[in-house]
Amino acid sequence: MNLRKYFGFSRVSFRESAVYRVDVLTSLISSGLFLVLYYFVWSAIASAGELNSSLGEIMIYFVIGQVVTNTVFVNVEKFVGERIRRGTIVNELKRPIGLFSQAYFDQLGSIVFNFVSKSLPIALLGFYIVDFALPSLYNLIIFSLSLFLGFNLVFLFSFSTSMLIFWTKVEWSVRGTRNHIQKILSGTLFPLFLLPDYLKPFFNLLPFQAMVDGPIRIFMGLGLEQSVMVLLNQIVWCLIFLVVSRLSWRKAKNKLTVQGG
Amino acid sequence: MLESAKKHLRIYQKFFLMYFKTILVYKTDFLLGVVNQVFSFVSSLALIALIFTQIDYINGWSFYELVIVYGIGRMVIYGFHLFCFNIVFLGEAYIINGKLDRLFLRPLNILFQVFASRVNFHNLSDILASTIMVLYASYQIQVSVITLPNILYLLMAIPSAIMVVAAVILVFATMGFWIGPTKSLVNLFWKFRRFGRFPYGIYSLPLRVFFVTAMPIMFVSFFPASFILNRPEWVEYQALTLFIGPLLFLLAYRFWLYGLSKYSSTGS
Amino acid sequence: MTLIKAENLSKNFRIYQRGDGIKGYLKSFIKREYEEVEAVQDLDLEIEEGEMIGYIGSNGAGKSTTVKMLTGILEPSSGKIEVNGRNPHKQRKKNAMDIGVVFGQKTQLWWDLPVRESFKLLKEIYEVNKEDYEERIDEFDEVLQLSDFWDQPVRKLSLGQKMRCELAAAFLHHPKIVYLDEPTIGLDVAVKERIRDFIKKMNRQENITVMLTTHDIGDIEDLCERVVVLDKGKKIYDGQLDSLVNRFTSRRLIMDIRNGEKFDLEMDGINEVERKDGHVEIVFDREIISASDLMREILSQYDVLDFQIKEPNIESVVKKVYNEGLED
Repeated sequence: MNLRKYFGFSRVSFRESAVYRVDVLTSLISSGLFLVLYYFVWSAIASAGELNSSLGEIMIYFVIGQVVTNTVFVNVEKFVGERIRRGTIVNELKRPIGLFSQAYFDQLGSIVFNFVSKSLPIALLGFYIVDFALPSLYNLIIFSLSLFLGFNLVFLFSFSTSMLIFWTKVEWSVRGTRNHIQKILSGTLFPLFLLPDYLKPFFNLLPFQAMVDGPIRIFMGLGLEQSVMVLLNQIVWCLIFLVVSRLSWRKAKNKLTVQGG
Repeated sequence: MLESAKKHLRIYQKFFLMYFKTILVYKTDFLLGVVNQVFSFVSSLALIALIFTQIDYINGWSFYELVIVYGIGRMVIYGFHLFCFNIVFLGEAYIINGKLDRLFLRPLNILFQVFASRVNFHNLSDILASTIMVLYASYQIQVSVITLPNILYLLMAIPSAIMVVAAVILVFATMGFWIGPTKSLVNLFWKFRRFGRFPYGIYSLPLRVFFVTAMPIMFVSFFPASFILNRPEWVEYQALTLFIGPLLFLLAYRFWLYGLSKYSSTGS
Repeated sequence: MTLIKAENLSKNFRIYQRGDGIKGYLKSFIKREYEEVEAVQDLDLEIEEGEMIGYIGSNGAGKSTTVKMLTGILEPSSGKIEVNGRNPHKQRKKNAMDIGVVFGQKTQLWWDLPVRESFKLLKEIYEVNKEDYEERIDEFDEVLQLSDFWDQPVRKLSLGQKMRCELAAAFLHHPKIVYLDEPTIGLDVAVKERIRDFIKKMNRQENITVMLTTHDIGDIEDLCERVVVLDKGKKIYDGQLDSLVNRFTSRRLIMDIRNGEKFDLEMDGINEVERKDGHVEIVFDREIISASDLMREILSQYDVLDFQIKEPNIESVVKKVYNEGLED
């Protein structure tokens, strides 16, 4: 297993991301706007006086949420869709390094870049403005692990849905739909700890909370036992979607070889 | 002058009909678009619903009232996408790739050609869904919302709001003549839309000013909705909504003409 | 009648240097460095109605800039243009009614619509009446065979098919002038011929003036008697194609010589000696030494088995023009 070959993909994608500097600016501005908006909305909500939590806690949740999503939310649809559109997808079948691995290491390069250029600045700025307590060192370590697992989960999920592109031919609808579902169910748009009891089971049974909400809670000071539960939850979902992604890739490969491009 | 206007109108009709026919051809694309829109729709509604699990009123606005604000905003945005989608691409596709030159060679107004060359019928389903949503929410509210004056108002306010959006996008596109790709600016504008879904009153003064001037998104959803929901506090803005579209668009058009003349004199 | 008249036409461009990275991007808002380029300098051009002229020059010589000024896209920096009695930039729309343009790769048809619908739209835009339109389409179909793909969306057409449509579209409304930029690029020989025949037919039948910009020698040979050569924005030749070719006085003598490797001749007028594929090739200047004198000299010294004299073809002439410009 020549790992250097694989990490070559990561290096390329890292460098590619580094070229699009305007993209970094717009991501940061976008996250900033998001936080500003939610500050006002939740201030208005909090002023009614019926909230179970403090405005501060909610804002910290959102800030860490932005830190997490900027790293963890990847778009495999673009990677796969481009190759399908250009027709080069057929070449991928001949290569020694499969599409799956290529996509994985490519995304890995992007998230490293995103973490450094987007998540860290947001975290630092957020820390300065919203004033939250730094988590303990061990929480930070487990958080990092959880972040990495979250990326893996999003990647596997996104790869699985990307297989649909072999049938839909265009990637924007798959990506758009997936993003809408992810954003609302993962805790990006609404703090899951505020959910009324009748909704909690529904959200908890889905993989999305493991993508964003889990890591956020760890960062915000979850105890050891519960942190481990979060990690296990993420690992279980990763395994499930590992199977799903392999099966769907096989199905897509069949379609490719049987029906052509 | 009049002859020219009639000719442009006739040609727009032809384009319109032709693009309508293309829906039948691109059935899969159409359906995929519908699926995507449904999820976008549902997730935004879900967000408002989740927020309202915490309280009953934001700044005095109830759940169904905010649904109406959201719905009207959607009608405007997708109305924009229906008629004016192409000006979003003005920067990249036309100015940078040189497609703009082609438009000089036809005996028609250049900006008109950009509009006419794409009628995005995909968005009809969305406009329909948003209208149904507004109607449903109106039905849930005790105060009667579907009245004749309200309908007349919306028939004027919504096109005006569409023109506001078109004006902003046109300005961004025209800036492309000088600073290159402005797609990221356009994307940023879409992000501002979200602010228009919540009551004007929750924002601080500087933001309020911003959302009525530089980024006039309040005219897109909030003020029109506030009229039909009988909110007298904003009556000046509600009236302004009717005129601000054509006004801003005229200014944007002037800017566009200036950009065009610079293009012709200094090249791309 | 002079249809196109350009006097002292000049066009200068400012090429702005765009900064690198975020710093450069922001800096470019404050102060921008630029380079001033003279794309067209003091051009005088007169084209009579019914002429078919070739407008050639190396890349960057200013050809497309000239065409863009003549068609109203660009405003000249100085000088006068009159096309069919109008200023093409100031009276853009009116001028557009009388011209047709084929711009190589950039299509004038609508990508998503079937060809049939694109033409219907053009009919409306250029105000072609119904009978005339139908006659025209039939006429075009004969030569260009558009019915093969009449119902297909433009994006599904092959390059050759698209080009046939572009030409039909350019001539549809009986324009006075048609500007063709690389109309046969990338096409196979059969299609090229068909297209050239079509252009000739239109020119003969309706006296349509044609201004052709192309790298294709066959196009020029077949269609144009007059060529205008542009180099670095200046007109360096305006006249008959034959005369241009004759200007080039170098000839090529190709010989089969026994013991050719030992060929070693130096004479006044011989510019180059090459050994290629077992032949000996001599490039000589016929103004300094005639072909027969050269041959006599060689025959007296060597055992020549076979020989051939090659005239410069337009290809090499044009290639030379494109690569080096014309040295006077």
